[in-house]
Amino acid sequence: MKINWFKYSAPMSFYPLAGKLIPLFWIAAIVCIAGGLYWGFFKTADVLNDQKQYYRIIYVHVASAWMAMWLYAVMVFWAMLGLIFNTRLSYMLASATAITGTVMTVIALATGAIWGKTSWGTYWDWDPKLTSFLILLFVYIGYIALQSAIDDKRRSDKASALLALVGLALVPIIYYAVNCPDPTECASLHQESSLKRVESNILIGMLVTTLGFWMYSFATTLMRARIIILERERSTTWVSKLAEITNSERKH
Amino acid sequence: MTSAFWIILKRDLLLALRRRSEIFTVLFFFVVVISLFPLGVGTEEAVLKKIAPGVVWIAALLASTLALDRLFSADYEDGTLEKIVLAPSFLSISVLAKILAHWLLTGLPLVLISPLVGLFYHLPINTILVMMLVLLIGTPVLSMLGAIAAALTLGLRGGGVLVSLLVLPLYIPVLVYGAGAISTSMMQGVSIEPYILLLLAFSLLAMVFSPWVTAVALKISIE
Amino acid sequence: MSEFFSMGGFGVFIWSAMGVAMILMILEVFSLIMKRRVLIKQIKRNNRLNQRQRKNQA
Repeated sequence: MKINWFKYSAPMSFYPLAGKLIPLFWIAAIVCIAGGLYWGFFKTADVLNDQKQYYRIIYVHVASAWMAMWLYAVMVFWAMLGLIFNTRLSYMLASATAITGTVMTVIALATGAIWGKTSWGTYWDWDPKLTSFLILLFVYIGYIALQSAIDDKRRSDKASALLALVGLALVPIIYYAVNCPDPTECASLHQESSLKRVESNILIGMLVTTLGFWMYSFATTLMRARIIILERERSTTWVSKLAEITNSERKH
Repeated sequence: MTSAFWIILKRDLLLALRRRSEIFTVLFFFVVVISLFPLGVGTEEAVLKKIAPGVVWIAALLASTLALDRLFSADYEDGTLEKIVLAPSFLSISVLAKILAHWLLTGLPLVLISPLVGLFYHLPINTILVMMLVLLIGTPVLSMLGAIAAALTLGLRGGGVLVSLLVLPLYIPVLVYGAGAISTSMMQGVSIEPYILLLLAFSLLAMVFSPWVTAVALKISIE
Repeated sequence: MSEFFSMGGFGVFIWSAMGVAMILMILEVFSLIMKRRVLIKQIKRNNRLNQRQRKNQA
């Protein structure tokens, strides 16, 4: 069977497709998050003795942190697609992704602060990772602020897409600057990935929860994309023929 | 192609010299911010020496973001900018001229007045020289990155605050290494060369990419 | 049971981390649902107004 992908690049055909997919993503999200947390909480008793119980924060923290970074990449991908092919739907998806990304960044920062209190004894430390996430939050907020400041939709789409690209180009430099304020001390920024040292049951919990957060991001992004489509296409005939618009629930 | 560059540069400088007060507004903003810090933090010499690098750079960042508002807005309002965008010459060359003019009027004065900071904050002579050097290399980056944000927010209500929100996080690398170089110059036997090289690299990268990106942004904002 | 919830003294931190994450996610979903409802109501009202106008013109 051949699916014509370009058909779905039109908001009119994307809208019902997204409507069908959203419940599936919700089910997947709830199953994965519940399963991942269950695994992380109950299958790790032998690893997480009393001094290390606070490790359980890591499931939500790592999941939201990975999604915060990944969603920025997704957002830039849609923005770039929009700038290249000039498809309206790509811009809509880019802006729908941004807010879920912001929520994920806030969760990562909040859980990171709580994690910091348990392991370093302070809520905030100007540790490179926390600082990078704070800056990621600023970049997300800048994107959203620019988008909502421009009334003309075409201009707002393109301008914010360009800003997202500029942000992506500068993020590695900012990350380097935050990590190495003294350039002589870390000529090579090569750290051994900390993933290898994680015990496998914890890793399973982390990965499954992350998958759940990913599904959650799909669901909310699609929901928001549908709202954006309705908002922008409100005066078209296909919107006025939608079931949710035509059914009148005025019973009294 | 190059003639467009010189014409725009000359025009912008001439226009600014007729309204000299604008140059001084940015300059005095810089001086005022810098002299407020000792009043808030305390006037102990050791403390002042420690905070001086960060204070100079943060004051420079704020002054340059405030000045960004004027980079394109006057030309946008009287329609000149549309002419420049539609002109047959390369838009990025014209943009580079505008950014250079803007830096000469708002960035360079900061570099020249910065020894005053040294005086206020009890800095040694060689630190003052380093400070002038890093400001000289770093402030063009601020104008270059700022130009992108100024072009994106062209003609928007509340554009000034929005520009600062967009651009201040992007200034972080310049802040980190600019302030780092000044602090390092106060230590004995540590070379500041790595900082200078990094700042130079940022400056060159910004000079290559920013006019081009700004030109794209201007086209988006004007069409 | 209470031992499970206290988690070796780290319970407050662990549960507040979980709580913050859940509250933020639920708030996001809730705001999306509300936004959609308000929007659909608006579009319906607009459509009704348009229909009435058309009838009056006819």
